[in-house]
Amino acid sequence: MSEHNSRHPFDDSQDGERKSNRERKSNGQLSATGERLWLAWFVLLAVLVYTPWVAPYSQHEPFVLGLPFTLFWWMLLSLLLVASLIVFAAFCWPEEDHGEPKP
Amino acid sequence: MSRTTSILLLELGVFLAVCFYLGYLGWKRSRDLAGYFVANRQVGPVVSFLTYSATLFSAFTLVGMPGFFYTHGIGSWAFIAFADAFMAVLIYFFGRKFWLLARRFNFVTPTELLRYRYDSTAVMVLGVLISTVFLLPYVATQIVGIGKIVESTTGGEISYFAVTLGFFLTVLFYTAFGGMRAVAWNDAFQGVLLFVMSFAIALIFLYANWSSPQAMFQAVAQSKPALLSVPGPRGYFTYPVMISYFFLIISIPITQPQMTVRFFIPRSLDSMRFMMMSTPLYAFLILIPALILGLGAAVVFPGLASGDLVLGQVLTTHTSALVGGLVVCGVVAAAMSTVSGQLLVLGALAAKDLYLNTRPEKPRSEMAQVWVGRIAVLLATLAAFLLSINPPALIVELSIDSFAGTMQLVPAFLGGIFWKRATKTGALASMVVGTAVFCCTNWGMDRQLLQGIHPGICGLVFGTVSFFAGSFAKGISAEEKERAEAVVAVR
Repeated sequence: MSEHNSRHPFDDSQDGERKSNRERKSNGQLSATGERLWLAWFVLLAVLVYTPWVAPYSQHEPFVLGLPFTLFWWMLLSLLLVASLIVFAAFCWPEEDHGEPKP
Repeated sequence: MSRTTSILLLELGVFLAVCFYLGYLGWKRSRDLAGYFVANRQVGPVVSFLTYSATLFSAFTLVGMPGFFYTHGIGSWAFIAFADAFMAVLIYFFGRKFWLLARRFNFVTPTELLRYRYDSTAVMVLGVLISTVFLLPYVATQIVGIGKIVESTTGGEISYFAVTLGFFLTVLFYTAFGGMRAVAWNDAFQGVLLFVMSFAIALIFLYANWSSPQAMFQAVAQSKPALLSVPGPRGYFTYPVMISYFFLIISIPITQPQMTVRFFIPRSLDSMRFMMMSTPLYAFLILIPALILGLGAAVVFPGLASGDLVLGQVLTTHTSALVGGLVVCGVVAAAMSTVSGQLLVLGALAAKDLYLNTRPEKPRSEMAQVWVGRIAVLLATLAAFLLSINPPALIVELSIDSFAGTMQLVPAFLGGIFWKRATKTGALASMVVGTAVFCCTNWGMDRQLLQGIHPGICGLVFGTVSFFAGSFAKGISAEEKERAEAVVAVR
């Protein structure tokens, strides 16, 4: 069993201090910077959905597959969000879980 | 009795029998309080994902959402689909921490976290009151639309009262006796049924009228072009409205207790990871049928008195008795999966927080605690049933504003788990001020003055300011500081 897998999921022996990025990485956790970048990406997608200049009012000409541009744009961003979440969960989720009952 | 009614009753009978059977299986394994309220925190990845998604998507998915597309057009997509998918972001940034905290401190209800973190029973009781006042009416009104659809599709042979009674008796049985395990298994079954029947009815309707989705959009562009624009024919979906709803919707996993408690039950963080990967996909897909039904019905059935009648119209004109009955089962499943989760958590709030936690000096056996929980679920169900028979206007309004009402708990929850300096004074101030501002702006002033900003957002802004002001106004006690550090440190 690798080192990070032998650690308990509730091991917060740092007494509340934020773990350094190096420690988080060795624990299989995403670094704080990585977390922030991913969060910024998710927020950017939301901003693109709810910004009138990007998804304008009164665009109802068929664009792709008969969809009006605004709906097409929103569906594209929704799909991008879904795909991003799947990638994030698949590759960035911390491997600190043993499924153990509460201590 | 007509053939349509007989077939519907037969299908509903089979559906309810499955629900009862799953309830029985859950009952056999609910022998202690943790087993009853949080399924011993041993729910696997697929059921965790399905119970989360099915609880989130209520009957509104097939009854209300097509109505939104029918009335207000494509703005409905940004209003709910993107926001629902975005909720999964919170599973990582909030739900994961909640899972760890619940295991470490043995929390069964979300408001127990508030009690522990702020070392205050008052904070917990106020949290329970806000949750109950805004959740119970939501439970009660879930059945209204379905009761009316069943009554109209059977020509009154199955009355609204009979539908409501049968619905609540079934939910009561498997929720009160089977607890969380039965609810989660039923949610999984009902979530799949809702998903399959949503697509079935949408595709039947689409290909009965057009050769392809493109043809449908072209028909909408010709006869109802305003539906393909933003803010829509009635000018409803302006960007302030959509942004307000975005924040309202993404606060649901934090503040609607039936959703928060879904973070307590996965057996591992890998189960939560699966939940995070699958929920947004479910959210994206499940709203496509609503889009087809709503926009298509605008062309096929123009001039309906209300958008909520779309599904009933499609059922009576486009499906056989067999398929129509199955779709009705799908809608009932959607409502049941949401209502059962809500009733169980309302029971948990009453039994654990208001009764057991306020009398910790009295020792009780595990089975006695489970029976307190069952009685609380029974009382909550009875209250919801009585309110649903003929819901007063106030109950309908409270149910519409359920998310906005519970949203006022956001500062107390988020501040509590991420900010060491948060105090009980701040938490109490945020809940009182936020709820008061929300109620005043929602019912006491002209909504036009808010320029599309939802009153819930106004309450949240004032509540957040009060949270910080209250937290800085009074020093943090040693006990509170110790607990704050213990909670914030968990990651």
